[in-house]
Amino acid sequence: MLIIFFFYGLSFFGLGLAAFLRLRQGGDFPLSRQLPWLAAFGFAAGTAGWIEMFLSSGDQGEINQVLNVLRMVFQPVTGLLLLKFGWGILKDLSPLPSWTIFIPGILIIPIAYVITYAATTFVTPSPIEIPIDIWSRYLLYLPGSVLAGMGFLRQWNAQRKLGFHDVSGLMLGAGFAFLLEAFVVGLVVPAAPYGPASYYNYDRVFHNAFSGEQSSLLRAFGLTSWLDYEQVLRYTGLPIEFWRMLSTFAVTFFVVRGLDVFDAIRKRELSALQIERDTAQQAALEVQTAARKTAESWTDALVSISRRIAELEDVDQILMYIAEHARVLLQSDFLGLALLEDDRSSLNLKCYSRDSQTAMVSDVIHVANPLIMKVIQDSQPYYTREGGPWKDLLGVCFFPEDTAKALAAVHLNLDNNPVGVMWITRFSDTPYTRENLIWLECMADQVVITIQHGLMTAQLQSLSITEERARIAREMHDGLAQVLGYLNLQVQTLEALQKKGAQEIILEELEQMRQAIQAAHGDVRENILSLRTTLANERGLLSAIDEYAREFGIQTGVETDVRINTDGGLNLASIAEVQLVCILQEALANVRKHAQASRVKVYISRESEQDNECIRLQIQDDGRGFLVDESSRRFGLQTMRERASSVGGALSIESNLGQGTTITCEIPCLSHDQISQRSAVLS
Amino acid sequence: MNLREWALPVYTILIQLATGGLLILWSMRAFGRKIITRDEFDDVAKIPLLIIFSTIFLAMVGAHFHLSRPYLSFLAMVNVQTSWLSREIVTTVLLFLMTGILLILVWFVDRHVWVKEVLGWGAVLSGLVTIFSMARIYMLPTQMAWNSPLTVVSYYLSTFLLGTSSMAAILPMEYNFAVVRGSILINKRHILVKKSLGWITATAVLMAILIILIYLDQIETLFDIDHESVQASIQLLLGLYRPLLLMRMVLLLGGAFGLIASVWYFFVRNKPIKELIGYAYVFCTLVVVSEILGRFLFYATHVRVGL
Repeated sequence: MLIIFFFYGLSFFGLGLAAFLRLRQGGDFPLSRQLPWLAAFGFAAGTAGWIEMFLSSGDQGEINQVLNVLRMVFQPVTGLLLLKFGWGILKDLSPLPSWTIFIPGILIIPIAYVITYAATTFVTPSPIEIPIDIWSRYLLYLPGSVLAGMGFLRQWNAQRKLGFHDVSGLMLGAGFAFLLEAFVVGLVVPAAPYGPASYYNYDRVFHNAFSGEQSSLLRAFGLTSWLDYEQVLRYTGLPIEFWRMLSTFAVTFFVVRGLDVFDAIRKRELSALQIERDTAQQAALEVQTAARKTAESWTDALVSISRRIAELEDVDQILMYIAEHARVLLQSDFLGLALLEDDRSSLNLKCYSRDSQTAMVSDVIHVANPLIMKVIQDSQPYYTREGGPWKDLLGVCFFPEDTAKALAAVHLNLDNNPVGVMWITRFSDTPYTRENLIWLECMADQVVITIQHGLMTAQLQSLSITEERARIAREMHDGLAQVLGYLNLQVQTLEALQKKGAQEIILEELEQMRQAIQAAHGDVRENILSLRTTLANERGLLSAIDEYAREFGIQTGVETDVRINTDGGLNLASIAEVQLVCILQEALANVRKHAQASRVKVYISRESEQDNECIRLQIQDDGRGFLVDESSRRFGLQTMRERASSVGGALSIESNLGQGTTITCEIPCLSHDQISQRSAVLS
Repeated sequence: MNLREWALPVYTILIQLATGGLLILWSMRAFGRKIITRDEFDDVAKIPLLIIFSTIFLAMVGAHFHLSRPYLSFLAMVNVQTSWLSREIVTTVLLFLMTGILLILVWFVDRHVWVKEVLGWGAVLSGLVTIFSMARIYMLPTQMAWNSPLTVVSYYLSTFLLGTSSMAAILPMEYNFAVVRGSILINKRHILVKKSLGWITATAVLMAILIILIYLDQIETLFDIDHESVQASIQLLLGLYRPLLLMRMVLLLGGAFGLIASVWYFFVRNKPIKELIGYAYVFCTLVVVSEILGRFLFYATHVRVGL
């Protein structure tokens, strides 16, 4: 018996130790919250077992009395700890149905009655350790073991459904071990003169707590008489303590193994979570990459379209470019672009793109599809949903072999008026999405911009030609026509002088005529030079300026020295470049007309002050000069100042009579950001 | 276990519990109108009413174990004009029927607010009359230890104590169940439960104190009665059953003060009601155990005069 109690205590102590060590390791496995209770239960039950061992040695004395008191303390404490552990494991391993919250409430009355009944048994004549032992088993150990067993059986069921058969086997073992424990420890109790122990105990004396009387031998049910200690020994040949020891071994074995397996489950779950996370990250990355590629493709296409528009490419070419790219980017098989006639009487196909070709349509092809017509009538975009009206899509692709099964169409809006429709179709069942429609609208906007730009360019060209003609007419009227008129008058004067025979006066008049003709010749040549100087040639602005200045020197005979020091380009806005050339032309014209100079120097340089850079243009002649104070009345100089200030620059004039003139113009360069933006657009 | 003797504490305690619970529940319905309408209160009352009805049913079943011939129990009702026992049984049946109809209306009928109101208070009244009859049964000249008006008073105090304690345990459970099943009235329920638990537990403490005072007064009165049977009762109570008497007092005070302390602590700290369930359950159990012990002592310490 000593050995049995020793191993009984050792087994529980081992259980407590294993739980304690696992508790120190930490972790988040299902048993972790209940580990403190399991450890405490193991230590308490082990201690109680060893107390039994010492008590069973048969020694008498004060130590035994102390041990007996200790046993009376440890028995209910052990049961209480097991009850807490059992309830926790039943509740925590997996969530209970919500209605189970009322089970304790329903049991409150039966429990209260049993507790009261148990309390009354303490006033019976039996020794006090007997009711403590019995009720610790009935009220604490029995429900605690049953709850723990049920908790492990629930876990067995859960793990079995998850396919973790190694774990589920251990949980099943732990569940049955606790139920066995409930039977051999919680149900088989010592002898007592009151129920329910008295029903199956060998000491069948009943004590009525109400009357204080005792009655002999009660056989209430009879069938349970084998539950007493003697009957167990008689039927099995082994004492109840041995079976309790075996039950304890089973509990310890399965629970301790279960602790390890729960850790394995946790690792397995972590691994699965990592795989799941990696998969999700990979999928997210792929989606992001695809989205970025799509965005880049759209950005490239839009930038390219903008550049083509800015470079004044042919409108038809731009439209075809848009059509092809929109079709490809929207994963479509056909794209059509139709515009309303001027009288808005009909919608005609202008451009299309399909797999094999993209082309403009020169023939008149009317678009009469009801869906497309509805788009332009309602000024509302449209796309067919899944299983859309396929029969309404007949003929929308204009080629008999093409059968559309999905359509998206948007109207072209010019100054809030619908001017046409652009639509895309797919030959497969894949429907378009709202996002596709938005991108198609974006492309439709590009089409409208292209058309608007084309119209504006044509208008500007027409306007420029008209203005240029007016300017030339004005120049001819102010210059050549005046000279010719003057010459006409001079010729008439010469005729009169010839009749009078005033030879000397005739010669003077002829000299004046020659000078007038020379001046007119100079103006004509300068105009021709100005007309020839354009900024749009391939060589760039600086080369044009250089060429212009040299031509000026050749034509006027004024020695012209051009020095350019700009380290690369000018980095001026386009309008500033135009104004710079105009200022140079005006200044050189003044040199030719008024300065009587023999030499003129043109300096172009880049100046920087702090972070601000500017282009400095300096025209310096050695002519007769003039009084600067009177220059405000001169229309040409005033125009030059206005040109400079219109682009944020400044113009200064230094001149004195007989000391030549120096005109300095400074125009600010573009900032780095502006340059990079322009470069990006141009690239 | 002697079933015939234990059937009496089972019946009396369960009827007191049910009546007290119903009284508290219907008081909440009446006083909580500003928080929750009577229609909406039906949803709150469903489960508590089911528990109360089950308790009455169990009490009636339990009472039959006290009878030698349970199948003839209905004959006990025939002497309603002269017998307090008959009146107790008749009013118990009334309580059972009215609570049953009320339960059906609350669970399955949305309308008839006033019918429910009247039925509820009618059931409460039946329960209170039952308890009065129950106490009067024991006020007999031959049972001098019981023959006092304080017996009636202590029975009513026990009723109120059991009602308040049981509702203090049931309300948090019912509230948490409503949270789990996603009740749309959860905010109103929260306010109602919070406010109700305050006065419910305060009443429980008051009842516990009054019970102890009356108990001490009864003991002192018994000391003054110079009769053999009374002195025998005193000897039993302070001799053999003294540990149980002490246990009853400790559990009564511990349970009642534990209830109000836990409710106060949780609401001051603003903790979720869900966490209150365990504490309320334990303290309510202590109160119920103390009351059953008290009833046990009531029956166990009486000594009849004569045969």
